[in-house]
Amino acid sequence: MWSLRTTCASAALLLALAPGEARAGACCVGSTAATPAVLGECERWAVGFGVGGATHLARWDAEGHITADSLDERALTSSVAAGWRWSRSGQITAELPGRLTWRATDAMAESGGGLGDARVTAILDPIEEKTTLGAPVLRLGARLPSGRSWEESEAPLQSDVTGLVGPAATAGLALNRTMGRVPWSLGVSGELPVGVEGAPMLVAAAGSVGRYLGTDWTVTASLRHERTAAVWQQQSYRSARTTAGARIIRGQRLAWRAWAGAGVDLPVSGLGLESPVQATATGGLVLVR
Amino acid sequence: MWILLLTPAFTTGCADVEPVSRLERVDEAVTDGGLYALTLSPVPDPPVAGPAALELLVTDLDGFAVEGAGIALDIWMPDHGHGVSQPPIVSDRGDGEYTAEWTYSMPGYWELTVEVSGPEGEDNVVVAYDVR
Repeated sequence: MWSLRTTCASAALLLALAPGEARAGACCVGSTAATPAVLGECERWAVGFGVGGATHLARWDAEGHITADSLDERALTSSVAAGWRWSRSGQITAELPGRLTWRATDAMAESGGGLGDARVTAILDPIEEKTTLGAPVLRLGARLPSGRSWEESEAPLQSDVTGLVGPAATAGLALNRTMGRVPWSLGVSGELPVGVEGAPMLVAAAGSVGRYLGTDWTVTASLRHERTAAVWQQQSYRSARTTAGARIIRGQRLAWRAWAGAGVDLPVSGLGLESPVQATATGGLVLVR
Repeated sequence: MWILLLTPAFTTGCADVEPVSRLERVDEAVTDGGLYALTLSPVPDPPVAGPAALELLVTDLDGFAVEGAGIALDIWMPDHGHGVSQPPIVSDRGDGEYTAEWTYSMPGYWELTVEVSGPEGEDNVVVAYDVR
């Protein structure tokens, strides 16, 4: 019983991996919420939805200092997702997000939104999690430009932007392990735009640790650092941000999982570069069988 | 694995790409080909997100105003890989003075490529602003 519950719980841990993984890619424009329909070893399929909210607090400037700025932004995000495990070691997930954004400066305000960029990801977890060193989980996927990019935007403050220009290849590698009642995960991930001049590529490192509370509840804390690099006119440009988060997850085995969480870009100078500082809240429900 | 292979690009830059070198703000500039001298005045100053303008005085290198020139701006946020939604509107105020108007969609480091087409030919220069 313990073993079964433990292996099934790995999905819940992955679900909690990182606030910020929800972003649409290497830009603060058009970031969206994620509903990770990741399946545990004993699960066959999942469908679910997620909602979220974000508010702009400040930004890291070009020297990495936290500074107030002239932009006010609120966003509501949503997503629907589905996952299917076709074998003991392979599963696939698909997600379609949406976004509604309100932006304002001293001189103007506007709002917009729509469907975001869809994502399809194959997840390979060939080794059982109870092995001593932990279970590697490999993700390979694509981000598809189903959202509205800045090139298609008609709003001066780009509040109607819900995605990025062009597709991108995505990949990630994580190591998951459960030690007693404490699951943890360490991983790296990345996103590489395909055929878009000047579009940033992204790499991120994330870690999370959790604690099972009884048979139904799990709490997790996570930390994620991401960097982007773009090449424009033979010069390289970078941005970075660091995000911490916490989630509480409740579920019944082979029935459902629900979660609520919060995250914040850590407002500390040196932990980011040329990026907004945001606070987010998310929640959602996934049905699993 | 490609993530690991790409990692050096985040620390040292690619072999034929210069690492990040952000431009300092300048109020006077000479175009890259040495054809024109520009005096630049952002409005508001310092720039903020939202409606923005750049007032330009274009002269030749002897200080004579260049009237009737074609002025175009390409506005780009290189760290995030995007531009502005609506192209700048440029007006000719006479006596070598021009005004370009657009909207910055967000704060951050923005580069402006100012292209001048005048009697001496076509030339351009890149200037940058930290939009607050």
